[in-house]
Amino acid sequence: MENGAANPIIVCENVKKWFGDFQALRGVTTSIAEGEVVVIIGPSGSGKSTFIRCINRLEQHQEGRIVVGGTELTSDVRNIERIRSEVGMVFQQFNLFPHLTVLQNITLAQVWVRKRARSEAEGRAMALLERVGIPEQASKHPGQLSGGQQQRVAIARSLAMDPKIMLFDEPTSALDPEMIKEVLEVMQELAQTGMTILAVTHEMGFAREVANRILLFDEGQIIEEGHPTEFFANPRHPRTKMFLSQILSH
Amino acid sequence: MDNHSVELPLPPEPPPKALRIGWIDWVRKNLFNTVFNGTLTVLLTVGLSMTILAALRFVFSPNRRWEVIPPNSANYAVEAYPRDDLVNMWWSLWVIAALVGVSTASWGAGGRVSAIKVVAALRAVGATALVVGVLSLWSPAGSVTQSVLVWGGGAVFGAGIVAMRMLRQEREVSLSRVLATLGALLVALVWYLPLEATTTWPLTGTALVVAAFHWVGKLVRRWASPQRIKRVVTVLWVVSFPVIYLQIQRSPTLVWEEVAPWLPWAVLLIAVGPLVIRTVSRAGREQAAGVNFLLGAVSIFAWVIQWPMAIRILFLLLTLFSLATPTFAASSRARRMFYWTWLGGGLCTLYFFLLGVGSTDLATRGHFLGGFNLTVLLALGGTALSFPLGVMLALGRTSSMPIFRMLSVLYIEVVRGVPLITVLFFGDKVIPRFLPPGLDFAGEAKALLAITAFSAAYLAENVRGGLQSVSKGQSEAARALGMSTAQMTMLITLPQALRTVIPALVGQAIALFKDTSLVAIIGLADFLRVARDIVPNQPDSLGSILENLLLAALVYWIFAFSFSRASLRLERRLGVGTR
Repeated sequence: MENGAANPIIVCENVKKWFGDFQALRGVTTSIAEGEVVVIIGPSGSGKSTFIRCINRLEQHQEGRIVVGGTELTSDVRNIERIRSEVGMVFQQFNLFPHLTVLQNITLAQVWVRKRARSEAEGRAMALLERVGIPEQASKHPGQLSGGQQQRVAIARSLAMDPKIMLFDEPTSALDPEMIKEVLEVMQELAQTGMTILAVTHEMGFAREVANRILLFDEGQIIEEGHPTEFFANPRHPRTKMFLSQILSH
Repeated sequence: MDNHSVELPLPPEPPPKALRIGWIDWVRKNLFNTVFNGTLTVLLTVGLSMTILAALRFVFSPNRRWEVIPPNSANYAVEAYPRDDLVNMWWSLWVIAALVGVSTASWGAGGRVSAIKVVAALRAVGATALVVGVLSLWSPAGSVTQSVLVWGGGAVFGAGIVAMRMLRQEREVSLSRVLATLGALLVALVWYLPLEATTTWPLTGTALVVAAFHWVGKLVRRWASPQRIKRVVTVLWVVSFPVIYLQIQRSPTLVWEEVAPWLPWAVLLIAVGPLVIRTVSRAGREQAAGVNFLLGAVSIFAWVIQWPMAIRILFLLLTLFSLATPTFAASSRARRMFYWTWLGGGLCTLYFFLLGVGSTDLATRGHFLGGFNLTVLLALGGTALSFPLGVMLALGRTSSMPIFRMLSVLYIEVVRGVPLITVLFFGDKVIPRFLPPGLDFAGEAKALLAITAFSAAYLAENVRGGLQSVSKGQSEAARALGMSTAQMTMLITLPQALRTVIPALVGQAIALFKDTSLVAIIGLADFLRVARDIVPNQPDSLGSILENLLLAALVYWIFAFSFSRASLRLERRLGVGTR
């Protein structure tokens, strides 16, 4: 499943996006196969977050096409809501709902968006909390949890919607070093279940071990992509070499 | 330097003991620590003493006629309300008392307070009474009240000191027991004041109703879950307001001839509502849009050819419900809730048009309510009604749809740029022109509408502040989970926004409570007007204006102060600022 896309679940063609005069995406073309784990790396401001936020339309792309699960993202609100409920997203700042308990955080969208019965939703929530290793925190509020625990709740909250794709937007960047591992483990376990994952991260260890493909973004474009072994051992583009040397030198 | 490590774990140490300092040290440290502060302390003490002495001299002066106040209690409470119908007023009070009883049982059940705090409060009250009593001895005339203050205050103060000595360690007492004692004291006060028996007995009854329903509330807790009780009690509180205002205080009359032509149609419309909602929720998008379009067209048509007002309003309501159906009634459980909401809303509308409009047999001088009763109704009703309106305006102003935004901004800026008095006049004189000829709301209702309209604009700005304080990540997370804009607002942003603006909202409610005194300007007799205008012009209490104004100030203060205390507790419970 390397570079190819036998059964593409996300197709992007020449995606462009501007913030005012600043062009954040300068024509991104790629496709991601079902079950593929893609890690996006690149210097800050290179458009990698903007790119994955375009995939569930938290940002609107202005030119090009994005097709997710066979549905093209247009301004049709119903399409957007359907795609969003199939695409889970985990944020750098967790963005848990502070006024709700952990359990309510996970059940809320199940009940209101997926229209599940409350008991069913709670059953699923508890199973997911078990899976991310913190079932005992169910009745607490997010403010009472550590950063790592909060991020694991955020992952459980997304998984509760049975997404086909998971987007991770720098999920470990706001965490203390000792908590990064617990979140990465959950992500790794998720990758092994065959989930399609698109992750922006600076964790090169994770990229090397888990990813099927690495995309390097710079100035709003993919300047190099490849399987991690190849990518780290034999970077071709000079920009990639520089980036890797900077990131791996300390 | 060498690296060195500490042997872990170190045993935890007890916290340092608080340093107890004598009162002389405390005074030196806090009041006389510098020459400047010492001078300030002396000056302030002298100034404060002179003010207090002057105030006491005023209160205890032989020229003060405090005895005119208790006989006027009915005037303060309800002003010109027909005395033969006073039992209606008592019913209102008892309904509230019953709800207070049940609420205290459901929310504060098993609540406990620190005994030391209770004794300290008691001691402070005793000390204040004692000081006031002793200082009042300098004023010209002695009275029974003074000796009661001196001896009673002294006794309570002494008892407080003794009790504090005995309370070596922290102990807790049941909150309901403390409140019951307080209630008993208030009842004793009612009997001590020279009120008429027609006042003392119903007031005592009120206290008994609170106690009885507190007990009932505790009993119900054995069968029903606390959440369910709380939900029911909240609904009862909401319902109680229109019932008290329209049914009890108004004793409305039903005129069959006026109602008969449209009543069957209205009932039919309410009954068909659930069918419409069901159809819309099951239909495809185009069909639903068709039904909504049809309903909207009929609503406008109804307005154009002037169907009876009740039918017009019901059609409008049905259109709104139908439009909201995809958002709120998608699952079968939500749909059932939605049916009930429709039935409740429809029946309320029906009830309002059956009894609420039209003339009342209690109207005297164009209004039928007055006194503290009117003040409370306007304040409570204004707060309760302006809340949803203000929230809608705030949402409109932050909405991404330009039409809503423009309308909201227009409303808010126009209303905020106009004094409340203008809005009151506007409501009084202009609302009748929009109603069918011959129909007019009571002055109270017009004042309530004006106050609501005014308060909503300010509330909207407060809520908007709250909405802006909710981080963008919250709405992004909600959207990423596939929530619609309505769900995101109702479930995520609005609850958080309201929580952060509780202090501002309470401040506004208190301001509104005091602003109700402006309704005097459109001829209503609120509490302040009774105190400043009506009672001092009674033959028995002629010219007692100073006494009355002081009383009014005291009553307003007691209510505003307890309200702000209650809001502090609410804040603490919802964890504002702690997150």
